[in-house]
Amino acid sequence: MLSKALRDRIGGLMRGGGLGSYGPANGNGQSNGNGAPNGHAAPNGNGFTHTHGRHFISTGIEEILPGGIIQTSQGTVFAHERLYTDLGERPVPLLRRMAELCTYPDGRFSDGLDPERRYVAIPGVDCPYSDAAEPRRPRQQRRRRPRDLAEAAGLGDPPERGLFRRFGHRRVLYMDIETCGLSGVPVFLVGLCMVGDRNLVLRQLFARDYAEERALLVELSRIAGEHDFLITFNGKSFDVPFLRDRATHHRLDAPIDLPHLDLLWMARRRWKGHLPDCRLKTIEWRVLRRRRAGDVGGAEIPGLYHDYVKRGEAHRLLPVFHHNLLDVVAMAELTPVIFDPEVDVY
Amino acid sequence: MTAGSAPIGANTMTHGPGLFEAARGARPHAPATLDEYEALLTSLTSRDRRFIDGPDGHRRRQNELVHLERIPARPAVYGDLAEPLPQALHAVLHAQGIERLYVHQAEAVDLARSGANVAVATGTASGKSLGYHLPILERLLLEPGATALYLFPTKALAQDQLRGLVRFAESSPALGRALTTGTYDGDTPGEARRKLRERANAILTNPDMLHQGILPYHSRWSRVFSNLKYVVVDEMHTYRGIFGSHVANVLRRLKRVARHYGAEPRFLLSSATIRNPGELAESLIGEPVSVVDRDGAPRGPKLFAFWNPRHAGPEKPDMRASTSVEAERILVNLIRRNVASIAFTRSRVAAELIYRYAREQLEDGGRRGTGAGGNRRPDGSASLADRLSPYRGGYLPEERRAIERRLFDGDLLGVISTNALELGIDVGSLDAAVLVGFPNTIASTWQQAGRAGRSHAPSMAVVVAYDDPIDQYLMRHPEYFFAQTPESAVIDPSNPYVLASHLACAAHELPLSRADESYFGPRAEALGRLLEEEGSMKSLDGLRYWSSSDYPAGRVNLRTISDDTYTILDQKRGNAVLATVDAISAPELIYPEAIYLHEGDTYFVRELDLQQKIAYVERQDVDYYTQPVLDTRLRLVETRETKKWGECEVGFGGANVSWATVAFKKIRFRSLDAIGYHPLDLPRLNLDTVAMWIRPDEAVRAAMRVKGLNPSEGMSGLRNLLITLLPLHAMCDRPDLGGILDSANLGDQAIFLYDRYPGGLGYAERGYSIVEELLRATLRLIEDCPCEIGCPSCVGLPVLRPAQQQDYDLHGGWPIPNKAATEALLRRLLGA
Repeated sequence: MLSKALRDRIGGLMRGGGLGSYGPANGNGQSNGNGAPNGHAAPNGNGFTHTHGRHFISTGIEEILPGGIIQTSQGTVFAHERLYTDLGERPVPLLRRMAELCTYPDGRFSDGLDPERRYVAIPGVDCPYSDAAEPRRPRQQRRRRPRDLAEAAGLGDPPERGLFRRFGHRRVLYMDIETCGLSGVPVFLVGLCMVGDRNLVLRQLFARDYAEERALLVELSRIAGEHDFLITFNGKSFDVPFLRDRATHHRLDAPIDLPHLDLLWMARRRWKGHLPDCRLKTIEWRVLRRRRAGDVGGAEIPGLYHDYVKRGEAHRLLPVFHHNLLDVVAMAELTPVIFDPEVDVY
Repeated sequence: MTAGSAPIGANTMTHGPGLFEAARGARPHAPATLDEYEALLTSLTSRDRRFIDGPDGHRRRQNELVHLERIPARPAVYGDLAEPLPQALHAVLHAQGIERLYVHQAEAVDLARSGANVAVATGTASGKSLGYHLPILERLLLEPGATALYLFPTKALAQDQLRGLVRFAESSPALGRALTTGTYDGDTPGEARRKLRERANAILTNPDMLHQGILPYHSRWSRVFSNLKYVVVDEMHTYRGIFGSHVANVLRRLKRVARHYGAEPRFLLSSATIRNPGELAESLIGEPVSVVDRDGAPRGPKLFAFWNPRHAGPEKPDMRASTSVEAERILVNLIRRNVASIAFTRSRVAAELIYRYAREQLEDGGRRGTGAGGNRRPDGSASLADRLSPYRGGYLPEERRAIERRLFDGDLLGVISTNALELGIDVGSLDAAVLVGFPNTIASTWQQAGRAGRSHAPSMAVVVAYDDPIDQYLMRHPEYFFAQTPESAVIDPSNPYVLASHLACAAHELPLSRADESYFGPRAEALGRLLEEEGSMKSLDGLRYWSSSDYPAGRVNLRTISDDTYTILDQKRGNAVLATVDAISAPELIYPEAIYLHEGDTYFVRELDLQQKIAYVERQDVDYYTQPVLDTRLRLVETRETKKWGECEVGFGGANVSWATVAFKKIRFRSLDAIGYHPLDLPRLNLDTVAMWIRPDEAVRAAMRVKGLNPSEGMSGLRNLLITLLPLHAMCDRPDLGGILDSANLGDQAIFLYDRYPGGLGYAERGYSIVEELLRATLRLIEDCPCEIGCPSCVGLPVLRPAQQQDYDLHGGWPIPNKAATEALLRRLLGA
C-alpha cells in the first residue's frame, strides 16, 4: 500500500492531467519505438545514460575516513584501511597464537607464505598505515600437503585446523559484510582483515552509492583471489550466499570461491548450552571478555545507509563502519581462542 | 410432498435399466437421452400446477420447471500439426487415449512453435491445457536446460496440473528423464524450494508467489530466468479488475527480469469464454497475442433447465421452499440414478447444508432398502451417501486433494462445491450440474454448466433459483439469459496507484531506467519522479535505485482481500486443525456460539481468539445452524473536494467502510424456522478507502414525491446503474466497487461509491471527475433498455449480496428498484 502522501500526490496529478488521459495509456509495452527494453536508452534531455567510468563527486565519507578510491573494470569503489595497532591493540601475541595453529603435532610449522601472492597495498593509494613497505621474507620451502585427512585434521583437533596447517595463518581472509537487508538487496560494506607480518590490516570496501556495488564485488573478488581460505562468522549461511546472489544480480562471477571456515559452526559445537546464544556479541563478552559500548543495532543499518546515499551526512554512517570493523577484529581474535581447549566461557 | 421422496424404483423401471446397461457400461440406470433427463426432472415436479406471473404479466399455470433449453450436440473438428510431435509426446498422447488433436489444440501448438504469444479461449473441458503443454514439453525434450514457468490463479489448480504433468512423464521414459517439475507456492517446504530453484525446468506457481517470493529474489532464480522459454498464464479470465491490473504489472516485471538475464519468454494463455480474450491477453502481457477460439472439441447434447421452487405451503404464504432443499432433492435423485453430478453453490454454508440434507436422504434410503443406495452394501462397497462429498475453500489442502482425486477416479458420484471447482481442475467426466442460484455473471453460469458434459453422451444443467429479484427475473425471462453474451474482462495496468506500487517493486528488483517505459508505459516517468521525491528511490546516472529499507512487494497485495487466515481447532480431538477460514469470511462463519458446518457436521464455536486468529470448536449434534447478521457502515473521514453540480452536491474524499457481525440467528435445518436471535459484540473490520458521493438537494426529492415516485428507489436504481457504468470509464471490474445509500454522513440521503481496495485506486475519484458524463451515460442506458419496470440490464443488475457466506435462502436480496423513479431522478439532475 502506498503512503497517504504519495496517494494524494498521484491523485493531484490525475486530476491535473499530469498523467495523461485515463485508461490504458497506449502502453501495451510494444508502443515504445526504441526497442531494447533493458538496453541503454539514447541520451536525451534528462541525460539517462549509464557509464561505469563516471566521474564521482565526493560523497563525504572520503573526507572523514583515511583510504582511497579504487578503480576497477566496473567503476570505482572506496576503500578505507586501518591497522590493528591503530586500535591500540598489540598484534604480536595474536599473531603468535595464530601461527601456533599452523603447527603439526610433531612440531613442524607451516607458514605457507607465498611472497608472490601476499598482501599488497591498494595500488595508487597513499595509505600511511599500510604495511606494504615492510621487507618481504624470502620464499620458504614448498608447502607440504597433508598426507591424509586424519593428519589434516590434526588428530583430535577440530578439522578446521587443517586449513591453517595447509595454508598457514598468513593466507587467511577474514570477512564480514553489511547489507541493506536479508535478501535481494544490495551489499554496501565489506570488512576484511588480512594478516601481515607484524600487524593485521583492516580494510573496508564501501559502495558510496548503489551503483558502486558492482565495483565493490569486483574488487572483493580480486582480493579473495589473493588468499587461500576464508574465515567468517555465519558466512556459510549468510555472507557467502548473499555475495553470490549479488554477483548473479550484476551478472558477475561469484566473488569468493575459497575453502571456508565458519566460526559460528565451531562456536556452536563448543559452547552451545554453555552460552545463552552463539551471537558474536555474546561470545565477545563471555569468551573474549570484552564488551562493546554504543554499538549500532543491526536493524538500523540499512536505513542509515539509504539515508547516506540520499542525503550524505557521512558522520552518521561512521558507527556502521565501526561496528563492521569490530566484528572483523573479533573474528580474528576469536580464531586462536576457539581452537584452544583451555579457554572456557566466563 | 416432502423433499427427496420421489419414487426412485418407478423411474428406473420406466426406462428399463437393462436396455442401457450394454451401452453405458457401469451406469445402468443413468439417463441416456435428453428426453430421459427431462423425464427425470418432470418426475420431481409437484403434481398440482399453480398460477404464476408470466413474462407478459398474465397469470398462468406452471410447475417448478419453468424453462427447458436443448443445446444441440457438436461434432469434433480435428486439426493436423505442421510438423509431427516428437516420439515421446506421441507416447504420452497415446497413453491418454488421444489419437488426434482438436483443431484448436493443433492451431495453438503450431502458433507457439512459430514463436507467437498464444491465447486459447475455448469451452470448459475442451483440452485447452494440452495447447500449452505440448509446445513446452517438446521444447524441454529438444533443448536440455530450457525452462518454463506456469502461473495458475490458485494453488489447487497448480496441484492439479502437476498431477497431469506427472502422468505424462510416467507414460514416456524420455519425457520422464527430460522433465523436472514441481509446485512452488506457500505450501512448498524449504528444502523442496531449493531443489526447484536449482533443478526444475517446469515450475508451477501463482502470481502472488511470483510477485512476493520469486521476482524480489531473482538472482537465486537466475538459472530459470536465463533459460526461460515459455510462461503459461492459465485461466487468464480470472485476472480481471484490480487483481488483473496487478497481475499485468507482475508480468511486466517478470519480462523485465527475464530480459536482464538475456531471455525473452513467449506467453501461452488460456481462458474460459469471455467476450474479449484477445484484448485481455494483450493488456495482461503487453504484447501482441494470437487468439485461438475455434473450439474443435465434441460436445454431447445438453439440457439446460430453469427450476423455480414453489411456495413453501399454506402455512408460509410468503415464502418459497428452501432452494437448498430443492437442490438437494434434484441432486439426490440424480445420484440415485447413477448420474455423476456436481452442485455449485454461492456460499460455503449452502454447500454444507445441501451436503447434509443429501446425506440424510441417501442414508434414509439405505435404511428403507429402496433404490440403489444401500447404506452398507453386502459386498462392502461404499453406500451412495459415502459417494457424495462437499468441497469448498477452508478445507485442509490434503482433504481437498483427496476429494479431487476421488472425483477424478469416479469413486465419488456427486460433489457439492462452491465456485472453488469452477476453474479447470480436472475432475473427470460429470453428467449433470446443479447451479444453486445464478452465479453472478453470465460467463460463470456457462462455466459452471460446462463442468458437466462429456464428448458424446448427453448432459444436463439445472439452475435452481433463489427467491431474490435477479434470480426471479431470470426465471421469468429465460430468453434474457440465453441472449446475453459473456461479460468482458477489463484491466488497467496503467492505473497510477497500481503502477506506482509495481514501479517500487520493480526498482527494488533492478534499477529503473528510462527504457523501462517500454514495459510500464509513459506514466512510469512521472510516477518514478514522485517516488523519488518521496524518498523511496534515488537517481544515479539516469537509473532509479530503490533506496529504502522497506520491502515493497511485501506491502502490495495483488488481491483485494487480505490473505490472513484463521485456524479452526477441534477441542475434542486434542486441538487438531479442522479447517481454515480467510479473514474476510471469519466474522461470518466462526463468531462465538456459531454453528460451524464442516462436511455436513455441526461444530459449536466455543471461543474465538482474535489475537491468535484461532477458533476453538467442538462437535455437537444440534438441529440448527446459525446465520450472521451483518452491519456495514460507511463513514466519511475527510472531504477532499466538493462541487455544486446542478441540483446536487458531488464530492469525493477518504472514507472508512467497516462491517461486523452484530448478531446471529439460529435456523432449524430444512424448515428454515428461526428459533433464536443473539446479539454479538465483535470488533469491526475496516477498509480505509476513497469514496465519491452524489447528494441531490431536497428540492429534487420533493419534486419526485409530488409525482408519486419514491426518491429512495430512484437513488437505489441510480446507485446500481453507476456501479454498472463507472467500471467502463474507470477500467475496473464491477466487484471492485462498492456502493451504499446513506443519510448519516451528509444529513441528506446520498449515493456513495467506494473503491474496494485499501487506500483506493482512483475509481471513485474518476467518477467524481466525470460525474456529468457518467450520469448522461446512465440516462442513455435506461432509455435504451426495452424493459418496462426495471430489469437486471438497467436499474437492477449489480448483485449486491448481503454477505459472502450467507445462506441466500434466508435473505431475499434487494428488490429491483423502480425504473420510472430512477429515470425521473436522472432527468431532473441532468435538466433533460
